Amino acid sequence: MAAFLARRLLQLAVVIIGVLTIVFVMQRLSGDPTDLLLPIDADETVRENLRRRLGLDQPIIVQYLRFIGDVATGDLGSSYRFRQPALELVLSRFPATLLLAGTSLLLSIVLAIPLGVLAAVYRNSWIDTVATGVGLIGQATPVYWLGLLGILLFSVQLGLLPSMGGGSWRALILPATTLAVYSMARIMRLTRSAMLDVLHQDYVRMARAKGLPEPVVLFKHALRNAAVPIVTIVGLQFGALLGGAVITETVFAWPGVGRLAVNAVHQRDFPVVQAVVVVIALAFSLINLAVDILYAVLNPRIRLQ
Amino acid sequence: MTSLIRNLDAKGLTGLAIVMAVALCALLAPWIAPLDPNRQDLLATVAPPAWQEGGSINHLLGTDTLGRDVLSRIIYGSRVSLLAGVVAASGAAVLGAVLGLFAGYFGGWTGTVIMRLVDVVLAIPFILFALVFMTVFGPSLVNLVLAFILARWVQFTRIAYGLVLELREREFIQACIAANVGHLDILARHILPNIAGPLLVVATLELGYVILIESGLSFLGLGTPPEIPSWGGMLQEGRSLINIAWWMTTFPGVAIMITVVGFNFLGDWMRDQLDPRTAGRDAVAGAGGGVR
Amino acid sequence: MSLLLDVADLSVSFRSGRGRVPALRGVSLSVKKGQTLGVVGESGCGKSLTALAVMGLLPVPDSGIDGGSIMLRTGGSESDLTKTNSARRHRGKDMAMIFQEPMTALNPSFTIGEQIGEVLRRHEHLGRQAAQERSIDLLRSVGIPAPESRIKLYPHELSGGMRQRAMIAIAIACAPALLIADEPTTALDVTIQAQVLDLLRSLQSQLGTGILFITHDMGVIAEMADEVAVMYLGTVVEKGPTASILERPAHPYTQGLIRSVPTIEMSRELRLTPIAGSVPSLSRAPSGCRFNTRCPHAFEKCREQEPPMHVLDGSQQAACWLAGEL
Repeated sequence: MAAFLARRLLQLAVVIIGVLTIVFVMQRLSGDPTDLLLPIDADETVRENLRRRLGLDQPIIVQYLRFIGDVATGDLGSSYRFRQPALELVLSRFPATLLLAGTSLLLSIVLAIPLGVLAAVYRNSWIDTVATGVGLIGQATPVYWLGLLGILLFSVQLGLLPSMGGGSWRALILPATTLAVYSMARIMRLTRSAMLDVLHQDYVRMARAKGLPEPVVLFKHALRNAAVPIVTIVGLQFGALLGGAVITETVFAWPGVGRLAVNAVHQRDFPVVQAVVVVIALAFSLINLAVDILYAVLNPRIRLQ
Repeated sequence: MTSLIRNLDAKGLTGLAIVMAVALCALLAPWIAPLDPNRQDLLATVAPPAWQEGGSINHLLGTDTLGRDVLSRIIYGSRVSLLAGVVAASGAAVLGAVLGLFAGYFGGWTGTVIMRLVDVVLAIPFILFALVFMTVFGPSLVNLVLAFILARWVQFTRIAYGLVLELREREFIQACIAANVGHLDILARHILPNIAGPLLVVATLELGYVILIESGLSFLGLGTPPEIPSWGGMLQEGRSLINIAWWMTTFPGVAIMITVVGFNFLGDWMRDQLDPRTAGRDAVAGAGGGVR
Repeated sequence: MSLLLDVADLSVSFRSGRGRVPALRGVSLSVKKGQTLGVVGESGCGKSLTALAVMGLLPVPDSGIDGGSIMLRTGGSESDLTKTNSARRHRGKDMAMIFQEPMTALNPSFTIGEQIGEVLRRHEHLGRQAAQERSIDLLRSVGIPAPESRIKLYPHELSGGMRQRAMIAIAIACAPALLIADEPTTALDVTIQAQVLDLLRSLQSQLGTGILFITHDMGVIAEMADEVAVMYLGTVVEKGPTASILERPAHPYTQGLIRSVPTIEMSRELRLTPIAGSVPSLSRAPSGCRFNTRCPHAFEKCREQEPPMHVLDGSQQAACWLAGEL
């Protein structure tokens, strides 16, 4: 287990260095930062001084190492617009995004797994038809459009829920639900197919032969063995939700990192975009690490390898 | 081909019909669309659909704030969606397949580096990658397509890599290697045809995904410029008027949904044809989803 | 001797969109208390399907019982297992099943201890601690050494023979009156086969369990069964006491099965004679006697009419027009 963890942590480090490298390359491609920091008519010597201060006169490899070092110490540059450290800005918005994505994930799991199990058990029945239909449409519907329709129905027509802003659980309902639809569809479809693979296995028949009640047979003996692909997709979906939050947050004016990033893109505030990417990639990688550890717990055969 | 058509079930048929209908709309837009999509009718702005009170038969699905015909704009909007989808998905497929073939066939350092790069790219949700790309190179449809190719190739690489690893060990490939057939020859003549099917399935599902993403980013004002009619752009324009003009947001969304359902159906159906064992199933490695 | 299990005129069919394909037709057989009935036949003859029907584990909705009864007599009461939910009440407690392939029948995600323990907790209402102690005793009784540490292992960490012993331990956990063993030794190598058969016999004498023993191997029948039922294409073609059937098989199919078993006394010149042809598919079952397409003695009547069970001397019965004459 220790060796397994060490290997996974090393992989995590490689992924993070890779993400940072991509960000660094993009940053260099984004043009001369002095253009953005100084007035257009700034003196050339002022420009040179600033370049030197920012380390832009150093060889590219030194700049790269310096960048990695800065990130390691939590320095992701300052927002051009807010004039405050980008990381600080992103971290202050991150809990809102985490709340939104977490609620969505929870919602989609709670709905998707029982529905997927039932669809597999009652294959070709009306439950299966409904589940499959919901799955197909859920995967094809643009989240933001669903959000708009939700606003139209629940906020404009019925006046039940607020259409924007954060702060209250009622404000969370619409964005979390619309964001959950796609993940729910995917997790449901995967649960269904993973269960179909497992249901005809001998050990499921054996569990019935032991006289166990059907819910125990399905949710203990079958689902446990279908869990590895389901856990994989749940892990992936969390990343997807963090990304999907970008659009959903904009629709509902939810004060998270997604909206921050979109606004930063419009203002070409690169440090902020960069900080959002690094923070989300790190969060996503940590979740995948957790998923890997969960694998080993769920599947005793992996543990030995 | 005839056997494929014979196997066309309800799902495949629906998918094919939708995709063909959308393709026809895109190709024949000038002839099908009732009006010029950019023609402003300032006497009939924000007109509701024909069946509602105040609607007119001239504008079946109503008009927008500038009096432009919603139906015509939706028909023209299919051009952007399809063009972006086809270029982006095939670009990503070619790039990804080539890298996956090399990684799987030659292995070694090249393979390791490519596959590590896949891990890295997978760690960044695509929308965020697109945002970074737009910040650096500016928002535009071309950049959106480029960002897609540069990020989504990994889907194809993973699948090509896995398939090649399996194929490599098969006898006919080993025989080719023993007979001193050139590596490029083996890759192009013996391996590529064997993995083309699964890659085509992924490409079809990815196409639906590009359409979703393109509309999403256009909705954020980061994709198609406003003067070109696009479904995402229409949604953005309709957003602020959601409480008075529901038709401006509803119909473009329906168009996106139907189109994406079409591509997903077609992709699912093709996958079932390739591997009847998994008919009606979903695979973890399957495309269409992953990081959204 | 009193009957423990009495299957009478059981018919089962597979159901698909295109209709029903009969898979079992009028199967009648019985298991006496504390005795072993061997059910033998080539694969596809319906022996496993009979076992699943008894356990109430026929795959739904792909198959179902069309008629007949399955009476289980335990503890002074009698119930018909073909009735909805009836088999479920007896499974694990009054009747248990050993499957052919222990690797796939044991759940890979749970320890052996958990898989035995849950049966005890469910049917004997034992607590966790008590269930664990009983599990250790059970593993010891099926001949697994060091059971205290084995209960913490997962199926893949055991050898094939140990896995089958563990499955037997699960099956006998609640001392069932009826044990169904579906080719329990087919997946094992020869020396372990013999050990497992010995184990089943000694458990039977200790617990007084009736066993429905399914196999394709006449040699195993000779060793294990008190009585035999020979099945072919969904019907019972011959049944009776093991000794008389092995000595004087009356049905040409039984004769063929016995001739295809190698024996030590067999001289080198004498060839094993396999039965000609192969089992036709259920949907193409011939009319008349179902064996007529492969029978060396078949004549016109065999192709036209299905032979009824002929009672021969003793309790031996065979469904053949020439029964007693061959």
